[in-house]
Amino acid sequence: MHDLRTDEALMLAWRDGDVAAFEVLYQRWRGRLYRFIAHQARGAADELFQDVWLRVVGARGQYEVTAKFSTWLFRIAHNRLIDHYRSQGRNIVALFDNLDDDPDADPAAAMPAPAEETPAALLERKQTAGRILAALETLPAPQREAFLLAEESGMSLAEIAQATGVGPETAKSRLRYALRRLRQALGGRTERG
Amino acid sequence: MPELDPELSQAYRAAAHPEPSPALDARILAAACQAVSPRRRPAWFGWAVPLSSTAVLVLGLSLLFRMQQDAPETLREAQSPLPQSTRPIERTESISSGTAATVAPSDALPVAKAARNTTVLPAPQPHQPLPATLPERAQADVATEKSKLAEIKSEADAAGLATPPAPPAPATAQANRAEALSAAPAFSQGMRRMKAAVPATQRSTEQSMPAATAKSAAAVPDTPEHWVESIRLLLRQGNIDAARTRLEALRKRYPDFELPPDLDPARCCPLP
Repeated sequence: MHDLRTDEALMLAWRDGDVAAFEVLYQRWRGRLYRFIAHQARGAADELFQDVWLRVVGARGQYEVTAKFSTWLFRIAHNRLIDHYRSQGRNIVALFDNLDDDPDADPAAAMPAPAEETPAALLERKQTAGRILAALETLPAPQREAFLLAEESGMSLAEIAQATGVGPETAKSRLRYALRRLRQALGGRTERG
Repeated sequence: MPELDPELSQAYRAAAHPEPSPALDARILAAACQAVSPRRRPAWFGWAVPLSSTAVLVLGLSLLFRMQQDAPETLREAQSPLPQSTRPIERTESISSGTAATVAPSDALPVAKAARNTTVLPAPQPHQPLPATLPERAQADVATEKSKLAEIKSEADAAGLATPPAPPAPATAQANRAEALSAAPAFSQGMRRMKAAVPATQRSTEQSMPAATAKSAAAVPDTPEHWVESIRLLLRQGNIDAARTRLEALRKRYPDFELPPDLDPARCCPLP
């Protein structure tokens, strides 16, 4: 039996002591959040996934409905991923701050992939659905995150911008370039529109 | 989302995606349950309420038992003043009708004995606090007693009779009376406890004895015949001195009264 309550209502109910509300909420978002994390930090997906939910649990008493629950949840996941990147010594500035601010910039030039792992090469080798995943892994992190947020959580551009802490235009450009490269990986098509 | 390509989304969703393991789900749900469940109380906390309730019950029952033990004496003390205070007055009125003399009740018996049948003490109120002026009253009574004895002595001297034996020394009587008055509350309480301990029949006997003694010793006769009876009673009790004194008083008050033969001074009370 599906619970028709909204995510925010479930979160408020759990804040007031309803454990069943949390279970419903968890079942709604566990798969999508896990995929969002796993596609960006495959080796630490379980750890990061658990950390995100434990932060949700820890913030139970102070939860107030200031945004959509999904936006709040993925904002936590985004911050946790940033911490994860920092812990691995990756240049966060190069990954998230100087990339895609210019919609006309070429993201492929900022983060070139090996020749054998380019989307075109993957598209040539594989005709299966796994091709898209390989292409996703070749995307720059901000573009991949924007695509996953749009695909997994169904966020709008404004919500993606809010979850990732950037402006709406930046979120739009990230998502646009991600889609372009994924389409190229699928069939060499160019960006629509 | 208008920006997304449906064909791209379909291809993405068709691919195999990782899922969290059941163990991971269990850990997260357990953490959520633990956050909501109330803080665990120590094991002894479950016994706190029953133990405290039992302690209160035991304390209450012990207090109730103690109150029940003390209740009978309290009830006796609350009910006893009225009959004890009225009984001696009724006896006195039946004995000496028309006179102002009163008979001391059983509680005041030592005082009456100390006065050697010549003093008249008011019936004490056993359960009322003694007034602060009791010592002065005792001294006043002693003074009255002194004056009466002096009067009797002067009358006897005027009649040429031998001086009767001296009554107890005033100082001694005063001391005895003060001691008796000071000990009156404790004595009254002791008597009440003894009364509670002895059977009712024995108690009634004790109450009748002082009345008879007082009747014979302290009653002031109002007719020559009563004087004679009181003198005979004193003689039977062996109180020769008092009998002689009373006989002299009878002679003085009723000079024309002819004494019965058994009270002839030559036989029973040899006069000088």
